[in-house]
Amino acid sequence: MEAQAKAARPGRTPLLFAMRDPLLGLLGVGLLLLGWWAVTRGDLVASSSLPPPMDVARGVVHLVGDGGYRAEILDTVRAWVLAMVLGVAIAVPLGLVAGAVAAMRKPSLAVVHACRAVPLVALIPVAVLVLGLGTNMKVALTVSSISWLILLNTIYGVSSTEPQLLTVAKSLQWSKVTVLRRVVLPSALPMIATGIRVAGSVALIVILSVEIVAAGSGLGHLIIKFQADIPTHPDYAYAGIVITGVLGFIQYTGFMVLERRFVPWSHANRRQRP
Amino acid sequence: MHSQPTTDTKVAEPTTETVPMLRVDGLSKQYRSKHGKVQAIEQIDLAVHPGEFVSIVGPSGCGKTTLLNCLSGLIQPTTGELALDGRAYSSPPEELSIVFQDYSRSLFPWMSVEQNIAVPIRDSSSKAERRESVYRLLAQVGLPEKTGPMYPWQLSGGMQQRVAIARALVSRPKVLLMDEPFASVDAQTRNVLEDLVLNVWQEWNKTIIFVTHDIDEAVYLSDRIVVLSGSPASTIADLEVPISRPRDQLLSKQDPRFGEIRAELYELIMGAHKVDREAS
Repeated sequence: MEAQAKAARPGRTPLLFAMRDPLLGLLGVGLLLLGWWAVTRGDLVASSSLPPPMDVARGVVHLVGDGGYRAEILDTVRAWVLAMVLGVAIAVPLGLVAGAVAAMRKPSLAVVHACRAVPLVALIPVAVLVLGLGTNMKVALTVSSISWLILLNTIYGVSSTEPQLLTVAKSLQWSKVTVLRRVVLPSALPMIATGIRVAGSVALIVILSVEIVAAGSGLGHLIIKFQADIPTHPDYAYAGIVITGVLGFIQYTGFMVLERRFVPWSHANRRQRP
Repeated sequence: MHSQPTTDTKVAEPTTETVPMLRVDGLSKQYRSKHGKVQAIEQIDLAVHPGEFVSIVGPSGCGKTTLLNCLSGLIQPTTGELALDGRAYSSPPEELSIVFQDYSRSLFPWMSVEQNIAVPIRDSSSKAERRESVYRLLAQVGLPEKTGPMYPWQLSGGMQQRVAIARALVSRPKVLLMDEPFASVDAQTRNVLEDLVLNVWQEWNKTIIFVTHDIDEAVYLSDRIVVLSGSPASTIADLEVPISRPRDQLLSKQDPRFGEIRAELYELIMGAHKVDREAS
């Protein structure tokens, strides 16, 4: 007889087994902190270069607790959210059109690759001249560096629609618009989602870089201020870095959870039960 | 425009012959490729009667799938006419369903099994009707009810092909076209699915055109077997299978006529292979 359904058995995983991955993750972080503590404790490096973990932890608490500093952190978060919303709103519709219309695919791919080749740093001076040091400049630079990524993934997602499914749609005599809505879009979604998730990480990197190099506010601006302004505050500078890491972790995990929830059919998610 | 009341619009005279469920007249298909024109199919005539189970066999790469794509209205033949139940068609007719070879790629991975089966009727029925049809079909193709809300990729290959068969049946087609539907399932599953198709065929009184490269499968399932030559495909034989029904995986295959037809088919197909190779 045929093999039984391969679905995972729900509700039978022991707690310890279910917690294995998070626990192993915590163990890794714990070891890293321990190593960090040992290095500072043994005076292997100057505390002005690498303060002990407890000082940095206190710095984190202080930065998050202080209204002024929190505003700087939120400034970074706001720039990130704005850039992501704009990037998705611009790149996904463009990619859908460019990917779905065969005649537009090659020309648009050529344009995308050419534009993508321009390094972001080259744009910073121009952006500062045109948009100043505020959020607009950060968002503009970020959008211009992540849109290509989402655009490319959307184009590839659309153009890699399973031909057999298009044949099925043809045999049902669906109109072009119906095929786009019912076949092309859902089959491109996993790749679009991957593009957005990767763009989320890149966006954070770009925002931080711009803030460190040129902006008048934000988390990156704080980090460089604590490092450069006398008296220097290395513990706060490191605290800023830790907060950046946490933000990155939150956005990445958030996207993973959303993907698992909304595109359970993507190949990466198929091993889990939806 | 109104056609003139000339002789060709005369009312068909009542005859003892039934109208074929599927009629193919002088079908040929030519492709343009880098190496010039390629003749894939040459002059095929075929009449499949209502309720008949016809298999199409031929050497691999002989254009069986091209023929099926023409029959289903998915591609336009270069010459020739097609008619389903007496009505000419040139695009996929509603009364015809296709079961594709590659079940894993022909089911929508973002839809549940239930939604997949309901795809052909989603624009023409209420939610309640769809649910009812779907669950009746699940039972018909031997899938447990609990598979309804699952995704197709959570099922085994054989179960996925059952879903594909259910989907092909949901619109109550008159004709089923099956393109090597069991080519990628294991031997035991294949036998089980063959019997499932025979059951469906008898119970629902369908007309089935079944493309396969498996000679045993063709003999076991069919009333009639059409043998195609190598490229370009053309009909080289049309054999009746006089083995009694209902068929049985053990008994029918022990019937001496099973072996005879099998041998004849084998000779024909191997001969077609040979001609093909000498020609190229």
